[in-house]
Amino acid sequence: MTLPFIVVVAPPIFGLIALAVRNDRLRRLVVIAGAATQAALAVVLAVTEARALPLRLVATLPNLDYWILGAELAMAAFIAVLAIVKRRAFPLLLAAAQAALSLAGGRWTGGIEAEAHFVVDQVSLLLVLIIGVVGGLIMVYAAGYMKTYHEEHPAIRDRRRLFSFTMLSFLGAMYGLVMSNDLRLMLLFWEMTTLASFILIGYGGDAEAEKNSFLALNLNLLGGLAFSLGIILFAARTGKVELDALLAMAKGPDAALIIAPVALLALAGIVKAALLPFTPWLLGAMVAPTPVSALLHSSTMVKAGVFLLIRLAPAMTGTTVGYLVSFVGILTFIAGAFAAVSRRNAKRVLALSTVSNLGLIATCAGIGTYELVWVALFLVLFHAIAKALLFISVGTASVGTGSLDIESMGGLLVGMPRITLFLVVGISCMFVAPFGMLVSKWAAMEAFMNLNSIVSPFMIAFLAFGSATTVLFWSKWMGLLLSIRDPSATRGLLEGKVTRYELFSEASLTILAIAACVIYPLVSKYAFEPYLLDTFGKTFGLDRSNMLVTVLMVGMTVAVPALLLIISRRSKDGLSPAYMSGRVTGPGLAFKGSKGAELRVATHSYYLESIFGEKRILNAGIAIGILLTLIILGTVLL
Amino acid sequence: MKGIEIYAAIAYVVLGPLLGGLLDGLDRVITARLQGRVGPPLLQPFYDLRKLLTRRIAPVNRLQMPLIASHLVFALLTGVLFFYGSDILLIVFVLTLASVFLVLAAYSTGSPYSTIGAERELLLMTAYEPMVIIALVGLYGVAKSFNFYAILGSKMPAYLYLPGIYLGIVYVLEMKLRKSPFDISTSHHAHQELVMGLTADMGGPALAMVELAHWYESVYLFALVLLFFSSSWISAILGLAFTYLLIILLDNATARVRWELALSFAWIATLVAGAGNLIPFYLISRGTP
Repeated sequence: MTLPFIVVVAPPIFGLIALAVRNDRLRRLVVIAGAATQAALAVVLAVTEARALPLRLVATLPNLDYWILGAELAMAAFIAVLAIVKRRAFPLLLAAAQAALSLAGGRWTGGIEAEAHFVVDQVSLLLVLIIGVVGGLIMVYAAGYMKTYHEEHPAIRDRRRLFSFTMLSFLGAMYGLVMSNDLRLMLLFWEMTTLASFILIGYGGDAEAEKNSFLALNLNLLGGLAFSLGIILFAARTGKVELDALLAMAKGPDAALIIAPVALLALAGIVKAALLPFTPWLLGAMVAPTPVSALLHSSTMVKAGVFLLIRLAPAMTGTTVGYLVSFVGILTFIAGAFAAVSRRNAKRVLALSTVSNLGLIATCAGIGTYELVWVALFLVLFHAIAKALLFISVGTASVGTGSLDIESMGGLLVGMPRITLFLVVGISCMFVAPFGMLVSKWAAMEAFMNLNSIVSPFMIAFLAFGSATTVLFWSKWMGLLLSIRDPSATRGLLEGKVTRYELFSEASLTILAIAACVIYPLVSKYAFEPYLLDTFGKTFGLDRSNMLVTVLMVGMTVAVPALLLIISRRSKDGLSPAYMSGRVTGPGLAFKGSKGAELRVATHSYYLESIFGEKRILNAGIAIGILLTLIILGTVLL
Repeated sequence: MKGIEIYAAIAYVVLGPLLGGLLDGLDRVITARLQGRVGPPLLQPFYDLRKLLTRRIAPVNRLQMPLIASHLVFALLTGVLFFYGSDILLIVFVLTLASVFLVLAAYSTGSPYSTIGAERELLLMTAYEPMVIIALVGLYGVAKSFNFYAILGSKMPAYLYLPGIYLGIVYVLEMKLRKSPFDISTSHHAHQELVMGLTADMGGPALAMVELAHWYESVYLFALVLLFFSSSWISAILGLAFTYLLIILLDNATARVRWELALSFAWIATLVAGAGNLIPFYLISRGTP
């Protein structure tokens, strides 16, 4: 048995054990052992295989396509039964269509022997490491968080065994997905992630959770249908089912044959990555417990969507489909960033920011030049770490403050100093130089400038507006966190319920987030640049001196404020109260107003509903998105 | 070549405040003349700074001073990188980092005036950043480089190719230099509705640091303007003087706008004058290799 295979099956095996263990403490041990083991396996795989990439593997299971067909029919049957029980027609229809396609498509896809079922290259390993390490840390976090979650929400039925099993299996399916080369196998894993996210989004069990989980299921099943059709079309036209064969044809004389399959696969990617017009499923997924959101947004699900788009980039570059995907991407980028300004629910802002960044990744993949693929890969890496950190820290903060409202996090620095530090690092990593996301955006701008295309000045203008708006919504949140209403208050009073599992994951991700910004030139040199050279025949990295500047600046940005803070905290000088144009009566923000009445000051952040109203922006985005999607479908028919 | 750049960066660190302070002093003298006053002496900003440094004013909390000092450090770093010849697009983002530190310092006080000032400063940043990026991309299009000296050395009359973008940059300078009509987050005068807004809770050495950072900033902002007029010595001197006087004139001739207007005006200006200039320029220059 080879290592990649072990990597895929290890998490679900631990998941099955967790499913069987009824004792909470024992199961927690199993989950943590599973998380640690799978992370270790991912790292071992990356380290041992890094020298001879790409690694090509053939599955030795006889009649593999029958096994795949069986598994797909079983999943379709499961969804059908659920749909009947919950009286929902649409998923039933989609499951039936999926089953019919699998059966009928067998005429073209059946019996084809793939030359390599799995291909592991640098991009696979990037995803494997993200799934293993970030996913693993989220599992550890969940071990602590879910206990508190059920104490805080006694009405929700405790199904933690199913939860642990599904989360771990999700990781296994993701591993399979990112290493698959046989598209039939990839589709199988693709549908598994759909099913897993459906179960997890519906975990709360109330009407809203059920509604949103079915929305996610419906849209992603629709994406799955596009995926199926893409494979069937590809197989029918060329007699092949492998991704590398598809990409090889893009450069050859048969490029016209694969336009339609690529368009269909890209559509599947657009759905899974929650780009417009399919964004609502990811926004609805917010109802799930925090670890689920963290997993969906960082290392799984949506990352599968952009992973597929990045994989297809060499086949999309310069084509109509590629441009259309990049339009969908840039639309999503700007709409997500704008909408995030107007929201005050922390998870909503995080979700919209994810949507925005996925849009940017899709933009890069759609244009698909080697420079922009470099950017897309780094966006995937930095976003996964920072967003996982932000989601789990917000989860912990919301237990302390009793609310997900960003306003209630005002002055969190006093109540939860450690969690605030994690949040500040996470937020910084999302928008400000010299941290990863910003460095990637910068590289994207330079790449667009080198792109000799009519679209580039437009893309740059969109990037400029989106990126400025990103600064607005992250900074105002960060400002609120650091807004100290009463400097004399005792610190850390709200951190009582924080478990050590949560702290461990949050601290680890904080360190990883900063470390990634320091070691990224090495990642570029030893992983991404060789990959680009293999795939595009050209390679790209930021100018070495620029990379050095950013790395040195990371050090400065961390060290300067930290050092100054240490000096400042040693100071014995007194503090003066904040200015309130009245007699200050502190502690806290109070003053004597007219007639000697004591008045309390309350400040709120701006949300600029009139300019950045979420509903308006998303509705417009969805309308344009539907139009673009229809045009992509049109290219399939032509 | 690298030798000159190091000296330029060192000169900036040492002479930047002198030049920035003088620009500020001259501004006050001209403004006074425009308003028919005698006005302060040219060196008044330096006297003000010295006085601020001698004051002992307690901070509002232990986080405020570190954040203000970080603002100064990164404002300085922005200019150093600029004159050292680093990528100017990267430098815009470092500039944002420096501004974020100042905004956070104001937020940290929790005071209503500082908080509203901080929020308005963020809105201004949102308003001007797209224009700055578009301007740099335009300059790159003219000179095919992101290096200050390379653009300067290209001797291209960028103002002829990028007139809309140049006007956009004047707009940005009004905001960055806290000039009317965009002095909504703070101003040099304490008579606005927010008291001093962003800097309401900063006194003594804290305010001195903010002022110093401001001087450093204004030097490389004008160096950025220089890039539009680098075709000859005469155009450089005339272009800089014209821009400087235009900004002072606008400051005196306009009334403060509301934040909604500041944001939407700036974005419309960016779209019309900025993108409206960049896109045709790009399309035309694409044809000529």
